[in-house]
Amino acid sequence: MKEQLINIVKEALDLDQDVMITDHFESFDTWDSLGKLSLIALIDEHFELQLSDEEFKSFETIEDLYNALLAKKA
Amino acid sequence: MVTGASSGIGEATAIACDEQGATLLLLGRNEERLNHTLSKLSSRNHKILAIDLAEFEVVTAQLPVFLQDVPHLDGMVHAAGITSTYPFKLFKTEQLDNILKVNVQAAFYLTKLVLTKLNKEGSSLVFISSIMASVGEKAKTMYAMSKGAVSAGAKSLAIEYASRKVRVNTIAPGIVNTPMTANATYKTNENLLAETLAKYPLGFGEPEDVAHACVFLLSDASKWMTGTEITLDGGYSAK
Repeated sequence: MKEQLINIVKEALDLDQDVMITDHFESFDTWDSLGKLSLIALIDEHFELQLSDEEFKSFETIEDLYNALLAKKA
Repeated sequence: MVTGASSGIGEATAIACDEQGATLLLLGRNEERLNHTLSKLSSRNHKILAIDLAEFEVVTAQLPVFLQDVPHLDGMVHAAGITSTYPFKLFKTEQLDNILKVNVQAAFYLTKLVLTKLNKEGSSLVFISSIMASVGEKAKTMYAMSKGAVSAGAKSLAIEYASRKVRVNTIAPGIVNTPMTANATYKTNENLLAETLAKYPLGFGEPEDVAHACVFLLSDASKWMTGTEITLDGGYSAK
């Protein structure tokens, strides 16, 4: 799931560089409202999990998002 | 006849038409919510039909039965519809099919089925389109396509039916505070909300703002208007 999430982040934010799970969302130039919207939509599509904008505010790194997704799955 | 009458613009239109003394046929997907709309109206002569207008076989079977005892229709406001805010890179043909089915096909299929019921002395059809039919915003490509089709279709329909005294007009609202837009991204994200609101000199609209324009288009006060779109957007597109 970790690898899948990284690929989803890359797709949502149009990234072609290597992305680490510890990377901060703010470090990506394409992390804007449209990027966030794309990520929310892709997470819904791939994991069938809905995340609110409010929840996203607490995520600094991809790992924060990953942990929140794991908690939701459980 | 008012579609999408269980909430938002449709509900406000039902209330405004009731205040003007109209006898109404209210269509919506949810019977309970239609009854809720009905409870806000003063006349007891209105009728409701819980129906999904995108289920064409059901519409074909049920609508004629529902209309059987109705002598004629003086007008229709088609407010039923869905919105979509979806970045274009996630575009899927299935999603476009769905939004076109609900926003475009359902609107015009319903229109076809009520044609023979329209008052031969004159009638008025009003389609709720969107300002997105003529201007652009991020993540609105699919929604804009569907509303552009509604606005364009209504114009030709106006020409085709003018000789039968059927007037056809559209209303193109900007963002209106309704249940449909309550969960939209621009409403739930603080920064985006402030950014979007700043584009509206008069702020977001209320369902009543659109309902009043519907009443005007349904009435003889607009008897020389057909094939026209009324932009209602608090100044959004004036810049």
